[in-house]
Amino acid sequence: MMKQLALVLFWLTACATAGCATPGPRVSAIDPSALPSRAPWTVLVFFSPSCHCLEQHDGRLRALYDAYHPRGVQFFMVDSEVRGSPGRDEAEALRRGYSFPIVRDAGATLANELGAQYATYSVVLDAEGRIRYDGGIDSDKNHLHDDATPYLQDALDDLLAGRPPRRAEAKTLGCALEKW
Amino acid sequence: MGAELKAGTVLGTYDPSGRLLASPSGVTEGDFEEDLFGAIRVLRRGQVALLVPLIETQRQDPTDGGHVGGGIGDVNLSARYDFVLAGESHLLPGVALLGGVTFPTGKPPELASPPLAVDATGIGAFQGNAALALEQTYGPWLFNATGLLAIRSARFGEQLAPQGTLLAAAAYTLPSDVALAVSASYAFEGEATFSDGTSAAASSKRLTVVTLSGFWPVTDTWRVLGGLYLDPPVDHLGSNQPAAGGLTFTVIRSWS
Repeated sequence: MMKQLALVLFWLTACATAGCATPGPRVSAIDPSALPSRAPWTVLVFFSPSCHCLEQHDGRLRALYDAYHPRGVQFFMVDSEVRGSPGRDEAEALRRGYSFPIVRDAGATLANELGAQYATYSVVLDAEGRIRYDGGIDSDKNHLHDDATPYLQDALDDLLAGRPPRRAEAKTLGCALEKW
Repeated sequence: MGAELKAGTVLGTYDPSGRLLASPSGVTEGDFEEDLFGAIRVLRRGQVALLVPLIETQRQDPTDGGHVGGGIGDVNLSARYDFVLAGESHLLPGVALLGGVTFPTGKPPELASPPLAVDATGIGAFQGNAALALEQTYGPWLFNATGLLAIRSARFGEQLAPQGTLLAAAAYTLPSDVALAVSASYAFEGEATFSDGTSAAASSKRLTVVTLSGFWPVTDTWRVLGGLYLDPPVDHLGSNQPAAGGLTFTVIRSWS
């Protein structure tokens, strides 16, 4: 009588406890005037303060900012969670040592427009708001490996070199955004 | 994809009234199972999965001695769609619908070899399954409640009653990503009916199973689970079913 339960438990452990992948964006561009500021390139990373996957990537995000901000790339963390607030975001940015702001996405408008479901989901926009890359920060989830594929970094390298990203989409491995 | 190894032993039998009877002296049963399973995402929120069980049984009694047999069990093909993801809303839990078919690829007891039918590995009927799963996360806690209904086709001149299963589970994830889980399930079905419409007296069944599990994501792509399961040897927690206990060990390789 236990047979049917095997897959129920499998799915429970496979997805809910560790996050899942999500496919690509729902739109090809966003209105750049919706961004807090303009730059040749913009990186958006969706934020959740309780996401262990994201917290594990904080160091890599800081390193990406240090490497690419001087080259004309602006970074924003995007807080689309229903219980987020400017105060919480400011405190989290300070605690995590971000040099880039966490911006509020009230009503999860931007997250829904982009189809963002998970924290760590990242998007690279050009100056016109076109999505040039979307997906995970890299191929790691909770455990960081030296040989991880640096999806976001690769995309920035390619775009800054004037060529299309070698990978315009990648899997996102993170935690569900509490959007409503 | 993954594989689950299961080894258990029968502790007794619940009679039709729910009374737990100890196994007679010299009568033993060991149940072993290796399940191979795989799941693939086919939609943004939809997955399909296949489960192939391999089953072995060892039985011994003073009259017939010891016998071992087994083979492929009933293969299950199922799908899951998440309407709301766990953690997506603080108002609603995650809501998922599951549906599937279990094929009679195993050998039913009626076709198994005498005297102890150790090569019986299936129920001999198609089963259609549907389930509703509610899941929610609260920080490191994950809670799940699942209701499952199975409808079976006729078999050997009888029609098994629909089977219902209720499952509740809670898991706690430690900072190391190791998770501990406890779950309890209660499965029940009414009396079978013969092809002439008469009821098979005292054929209803029920069973309670409690499981303790540990989940260890060795890497982002490899996970192992270990567990203890027990049909509590307490009167009225089952009927017409053996009460068993055992161990499980599962390895999962993920590509997402």
